[in-house]
Amino acid sequence: MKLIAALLTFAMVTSVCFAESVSELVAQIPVKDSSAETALAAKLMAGGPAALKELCAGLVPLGTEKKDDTQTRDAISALVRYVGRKDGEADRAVLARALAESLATASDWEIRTFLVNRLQEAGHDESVAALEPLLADEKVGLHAAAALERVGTPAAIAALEKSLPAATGGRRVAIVKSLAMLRAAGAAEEIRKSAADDDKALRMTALWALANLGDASARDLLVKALQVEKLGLLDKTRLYDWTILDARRLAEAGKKQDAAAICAGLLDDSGDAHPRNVRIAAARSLVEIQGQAALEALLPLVQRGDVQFRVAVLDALARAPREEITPALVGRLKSVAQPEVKADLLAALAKRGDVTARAAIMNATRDADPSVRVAALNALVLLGREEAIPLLIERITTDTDATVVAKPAAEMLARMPGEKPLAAAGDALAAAPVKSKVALLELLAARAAHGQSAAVLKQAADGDLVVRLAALRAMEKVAGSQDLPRLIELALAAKDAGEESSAVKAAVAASIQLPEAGDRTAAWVVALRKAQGGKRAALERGLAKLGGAAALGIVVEDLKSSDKVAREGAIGALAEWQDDAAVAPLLAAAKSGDAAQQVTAIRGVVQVLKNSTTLSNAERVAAYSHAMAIAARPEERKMILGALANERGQDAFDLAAGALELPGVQAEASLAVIKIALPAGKGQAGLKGPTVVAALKKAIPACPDGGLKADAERYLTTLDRAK
Amino acid sequence: MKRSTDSMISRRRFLGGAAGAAAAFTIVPRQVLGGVGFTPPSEQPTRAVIGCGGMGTGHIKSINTEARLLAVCDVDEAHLSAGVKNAQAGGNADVKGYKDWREVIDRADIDIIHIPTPPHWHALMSIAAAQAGKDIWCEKPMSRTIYEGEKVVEAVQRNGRIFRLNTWFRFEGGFYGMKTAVKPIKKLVQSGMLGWPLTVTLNSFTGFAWKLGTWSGKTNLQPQPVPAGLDYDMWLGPAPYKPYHPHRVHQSFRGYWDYDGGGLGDMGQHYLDPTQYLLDKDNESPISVEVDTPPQHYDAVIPWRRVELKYADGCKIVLDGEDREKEAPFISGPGGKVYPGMRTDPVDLVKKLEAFPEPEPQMTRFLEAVKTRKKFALNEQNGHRSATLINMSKIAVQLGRSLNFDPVKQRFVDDEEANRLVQQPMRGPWHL
Repeated sequence: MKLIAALLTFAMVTSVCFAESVSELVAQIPVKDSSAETALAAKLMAGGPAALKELCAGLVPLGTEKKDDTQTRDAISALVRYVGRKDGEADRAVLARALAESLATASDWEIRTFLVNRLQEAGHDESVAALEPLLADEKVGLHAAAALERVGTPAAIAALEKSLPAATGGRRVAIVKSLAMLRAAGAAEEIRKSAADDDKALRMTALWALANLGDASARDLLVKALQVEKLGLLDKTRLYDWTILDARRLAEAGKKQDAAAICAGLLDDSGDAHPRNVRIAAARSLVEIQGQAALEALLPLVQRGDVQFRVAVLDALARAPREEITPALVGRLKSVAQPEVKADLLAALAKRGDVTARAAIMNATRDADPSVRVAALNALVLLGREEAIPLLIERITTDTDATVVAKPAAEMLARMPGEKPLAAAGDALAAAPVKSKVALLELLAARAAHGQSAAVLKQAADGDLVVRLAALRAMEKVAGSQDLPRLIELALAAKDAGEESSAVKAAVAASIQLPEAGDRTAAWVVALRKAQGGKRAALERGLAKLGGAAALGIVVEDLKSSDKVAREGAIGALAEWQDDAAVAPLLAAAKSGDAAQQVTAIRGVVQVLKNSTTLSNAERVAAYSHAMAIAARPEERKMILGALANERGQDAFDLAAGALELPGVQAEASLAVIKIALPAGKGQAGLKGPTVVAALKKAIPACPDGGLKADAERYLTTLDRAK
Repeated sequence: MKRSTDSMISRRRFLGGAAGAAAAFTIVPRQVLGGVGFTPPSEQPTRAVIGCGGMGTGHIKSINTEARLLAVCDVDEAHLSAGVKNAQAGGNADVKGYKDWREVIDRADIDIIHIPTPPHWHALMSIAAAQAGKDIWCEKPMSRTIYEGEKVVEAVQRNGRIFRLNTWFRFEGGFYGMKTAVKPIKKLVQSGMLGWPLTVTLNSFTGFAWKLGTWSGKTNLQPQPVPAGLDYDMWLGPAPYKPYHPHRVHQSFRGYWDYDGGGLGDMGQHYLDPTQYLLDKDNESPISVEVDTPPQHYDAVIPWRRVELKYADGCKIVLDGEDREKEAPFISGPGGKVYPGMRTDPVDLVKKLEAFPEPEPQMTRFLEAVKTRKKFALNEQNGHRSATLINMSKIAVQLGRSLNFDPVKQRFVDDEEANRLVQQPMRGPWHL
């Protein structure tokens, strides 16, 4: 029974496979995705070598009129991908053989190129015999060399070697290049014949190839080539580069002494002996080859003042794995005098990440030169952040160079994660000198170090105003609700206006920390019971940032105060009020107060309305209308019209249009009229009707904005047409 | 006025002589040697631009203009002529035009080589420049294959050169859909508030469009005559010879695998380099790449649907080419999500950031890096790692299958066909 089922399945599969011809399968291309491509490729593979060759025969030479073989090429590409799957080796071999056989019969060079390129992707030894003869082909030879290079097996190398003696011109260059890439040492003898060729491309490729092969002849040939007069910079430095390449190949072959001798010979910096980058490359290669044994030759050289050489060589030493390198660098750090060399040595020690250097680095944080001190601090942080904290604090608080050392030290401390650096900064505040205190306070503010608010608050009572101000500014960032009473106290006690303002701002920040909005003004209300005059005004400005009914009540009451300072303070606070509850009292104050109070009140109304998120468009327009009626000067009317221009609707329009007749505000009124009347984006139609047309006709000549004026004229034309 | 010999610092000394590393950039007061507002030529680093079309125009006109432009080069006479004119219009009266880039590198008086060519030339030119002792400002993507990137790293470091890639988002500019610089995003990631591992999604909805349609190739290109003035063989350089068609070159080359890799090549390093930096993967590579793509043409790049790169620690980068994930955050982690415009969930993550340290500062002034020999922020090492994301994705897309990657060896695991694409033979005589 099982056998019958299996046979039936086999019959079904084969009938599906053979039901579709190659051309029918190809016609299904393009397919949507990889799984469809896999299924299609499987069917093509199932057709065996004959189907694959039939497929290849469908390739059409480029330029053949009205014939497009894209589907055939896609099918072949699909097969290459299909056979590249994990278990596809058997299929790969079948496909590669079919491609190779098709290659032998293809007459068009571009089709052969296409097939060679596919063998480059999927071919192994079975392809070599088909590729080898193509190395002699003028048009396909370079492609064949690349394909054999990618196949890369001994058979492929043998084919390249076999073809080399007869190859000339560009094909010889390509074969030499491919053999070198494959490190085919057996080809060296033949390649040597090209090392002095008149053809520069061939000669240079041969010299590079011999170096890359580590051939014994390479060094002498390269030296000889370097002696040629009028050698261009690129050729010269390439020959040097290949000399160093040869040294590295020698080292790989175990001839480290010879290799090191080549590199050491290129370190000479007398006169223009060797270009700087060549000396750098030689030095870096010497480190790779010799490890710490290279130190003796290199460390004296890094002190000679060439920053490029020094940085590059110390970087190589920093990356070298041997343990002995760290003590050698430390030793040099102790003995060297030049600050720039010390700084680069410290950078190298940091890169090595070797904690055995820590003591020397710590010592360098007290070096006489500030650039060395800061380099040492950088290194220390890289070696271990927490261990660096005390020395960073020491530099911040005691260093004589605030710009070069203390400031970057504070920045380093600020970039450290966690609470420890902040706690250290907080602890250091008490004993620090003025400049350092400011730096530490700025650091704590930048990190919003709430845990250090007590230490910061203490500094708000420092004898030096600069420190007090820095502390209060920091308190804006770090204050908690527990600090509120003290901050209000400080605001009341402040003799300096800036200090008072900073204390109020910090107190506001502390109040906002209280979770219940109703609790935020309680301490202020208590303080206001005793505060008079300017102090009362200062506290009320703070209250403006907090809002709330109780606070508003106190401030509104102060509008009636007999104390002029208190009245002005109250109106000022209302003008900055954070919610629109202040609009009604402000309008009332504007109506009843003197001219100065009116100006402040109207400006406050406009500001509060602009920030309002709760009032409706109609409510805002109504408030603007009240303000407009009260405003006596063009300056305030302009301000109202400027804000009104952002509103929508007929009421806003009518208010603006009414202002067109007012003296001194025609430009602002015309802008408001046009902005309100014109459509505002999708879904917001413009205003229509005879009054709109009439107002626009009045507004357009007075409009100072050319673009808006043109928009208004266009819109007016549409209204006229609609009549 | 006394002018000491010590203060007569030549360009050569400026670029690496005995002057202290911490010395100010302009050592001699300008007015002493060249009048107010003028840097004397002897102090000014010099540069050349290879490739005058496309981004080459930007390199000539507006990039690194503090260095004096002495040479421009292009294989197309029309581009070269425009390049010379642009350079002269920018005040580089003595600029010289070249058709062969090797002659530019041959000039001993040029310090910095800009390489805004198509990517199939980037590695060869970068390596030659490094061999000749030049510093390098290379267009993105850094390389066309992983092997090419490895060789650039080796040459730059062996010769002690300064290398920068021409994308900048890891250190400046609004990072596409995030509409903020990368720094606050880095700070947020570094704070740990998002948790770990993280997934980054790059699609149009997060503000990172892949431009896949723009950079598609055409199939069945029929040979056309090479235009007069274009050295097509030199344009191809190390790429396999294919008959000329105008769509292969200039403004549309990215659509062909031989020269670049479509939208991945154009936008990949802009998007993926900052992403690697954000994920703290500058010295790492993913361990796998999964793809969903229509089968690719052997020559032309076809738009793919999705690529997913996964790291050993579980972090992922999703390249959503079809914009399927409309609601995806830019970054998501177990502790929170970050959406375009730096909106976060929970909403107060940015506010909470105040208490966390800033990211480490980066070296962002190229000429200062040249002067002090400190590595530039986006250099050959991290540039190669971010280019690797592009190059491994390209291979997976070309093969239409998911692949495992060894981030140490930088080769695919058990997939010879994929590894053949990691190191592709160059057309002779070119080699690395």
